[in-house]
Amino acid sequence: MKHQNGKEGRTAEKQNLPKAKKQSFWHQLRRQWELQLMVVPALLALALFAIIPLFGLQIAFKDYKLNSGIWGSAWVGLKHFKMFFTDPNVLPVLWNTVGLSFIKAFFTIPLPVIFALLLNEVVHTKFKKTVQTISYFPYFLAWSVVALMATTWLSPNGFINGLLVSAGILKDPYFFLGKPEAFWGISITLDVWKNLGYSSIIYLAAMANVDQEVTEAAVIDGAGRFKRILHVTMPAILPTVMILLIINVGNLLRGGSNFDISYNLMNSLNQPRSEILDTYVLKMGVSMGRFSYATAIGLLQSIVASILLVTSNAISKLTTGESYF
Amino acid sequence: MNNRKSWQKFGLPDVMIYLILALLTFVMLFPFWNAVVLSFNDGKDAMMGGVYFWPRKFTLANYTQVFKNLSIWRAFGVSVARTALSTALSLLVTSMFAYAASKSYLKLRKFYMILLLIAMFFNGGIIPVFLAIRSYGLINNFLVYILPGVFNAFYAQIFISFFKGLPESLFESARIDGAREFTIYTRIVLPLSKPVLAAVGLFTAVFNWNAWYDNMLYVKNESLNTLSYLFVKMIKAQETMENMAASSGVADLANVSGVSSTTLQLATMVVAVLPIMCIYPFMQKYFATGMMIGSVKG
Repeated sequence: MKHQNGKEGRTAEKQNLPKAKKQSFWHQLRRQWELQLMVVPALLALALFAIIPLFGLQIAFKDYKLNSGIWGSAWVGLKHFKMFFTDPNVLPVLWNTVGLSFIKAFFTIPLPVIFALLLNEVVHTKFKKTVQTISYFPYFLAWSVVALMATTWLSPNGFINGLLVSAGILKDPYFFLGKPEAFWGISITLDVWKNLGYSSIIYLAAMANVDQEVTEAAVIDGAGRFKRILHVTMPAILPTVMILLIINVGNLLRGGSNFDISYNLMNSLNQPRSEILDTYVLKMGVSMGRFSYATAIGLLQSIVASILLVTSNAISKLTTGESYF
Repeated sequence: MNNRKSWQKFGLPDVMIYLILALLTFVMLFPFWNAVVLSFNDGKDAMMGGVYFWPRKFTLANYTQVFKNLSIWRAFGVSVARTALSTALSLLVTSMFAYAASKSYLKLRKFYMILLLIAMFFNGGIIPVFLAIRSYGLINNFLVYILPGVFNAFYAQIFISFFKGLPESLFESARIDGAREFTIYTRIVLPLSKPVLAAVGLFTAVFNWNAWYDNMLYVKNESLNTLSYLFVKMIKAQETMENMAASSGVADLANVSGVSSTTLQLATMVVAVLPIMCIYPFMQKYFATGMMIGSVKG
């Protein structure tokens, strides 16, 4: 049979439906073999790197042994989950994870909004473009690069200590990275520095969609700058803010930049405040070989994240009408 | 250019806003500038601190050191190879899938889309993925930089919605002329998709250039280290040193380390960041797509 493809084939099908219906599934599949072939590499990658690892989650309920493998290891029920709740190391790690994510969100959500609001008030395009271009730059740097620079900035002979000492705020250089109490501040500041500009894009886009006539009408009605921002600009970006808030709540146990910063800047001195669940999982699993325990923690993290996401989504839907899904 | 409306007067609040933004821009730029300045400064001199806006003891020695360092060259090569191969393959595999998946008459389409959604919203987590990759023999293998990212579910969604927007009549006439699906994909679809290919390609390239996590987790072989991962190693080595200094109460690190490696590290950093600096201003027109990617990713 001559190979027939696509829409041509479909019209033929429609013309004599009874015959087309008789065509077997395999026959139809073979007729679009080229399209089917195009899907194969992607499916292979999906299977290998997304689907098969999901089956590996079962070792959270097993005692994973290298020799027995994922399927052959013995079931132990909730042993590793119980271990997690009695592990004395967990509480501080959990505290760091949640506390850091929470306080971070307190800065990383409103600051880009404020930055965008300020930029939106700028009428000189060139100035605006320059500020924007410079502010996007840190976003494109690798976290390892930012962390390396941070060790220089924060070192006793770095510019931060230099400025603080010469301004008389500090008497002696402060060893930022060796002080546990400074770590959260460092993590938050680095995140804001890296992402502030880029995060503001989404708000600027929403603000650009505001009808100029609405703005002008507000002004004619006597609204000042502040009222205009409050009643015209803010409502336009509220949906975006809410969605980011929902995502952030979902990420409370798995905060975006927390891993990159904690992994790179953690040392034995600041570890009491820099160890988070993600680095703990890595340590337990890969460094110490406690694969089952680490998988159990990871699974718990995912479950809590899903619950938080669904809950915050529902709350947002009820209160503001905005939802992520 | 000035697009000010008649009712907008440039008053004191505007001056304040401009000043705040100028200050913010300075805060954004200065830390990086300071790192660049230090990379042009003499190492031992930099240890004394107080270098802010301009090199105090200008030298190119750090850069000649970097260019003489074989392992940095090799890491640069690995990073270039990884970025180029990953970007090309990922664009091919992802867009090919998306083209097929954009056809409503594709058999098993629903099944494929469900797999796609599973990949987007569930993942095994650090350890199961690690065990899977180990069982495929990808540990200490260059391919571990490329294969796991060869298909990107989020970019696939973007491609699918773009391909769905292409007029069906274009394909129709090609089919009448006897063109096969693969020909239509390479000759018609890809050339029409240049903007979205460029956007996704640039973000994929930056991601690959900056990636260090897979190197840290899957590759112990020094000759396969990427440039981005070298910095992680530098930080770890430096931290060990500083801990020693702090615990022994020596504030002056110069006494411990003897020679400053900081300026050398920063010179390496500048070399690694240079490609990004050249590319990112041109990415600005693709940010809309990028943000879309970001918001889907969450």
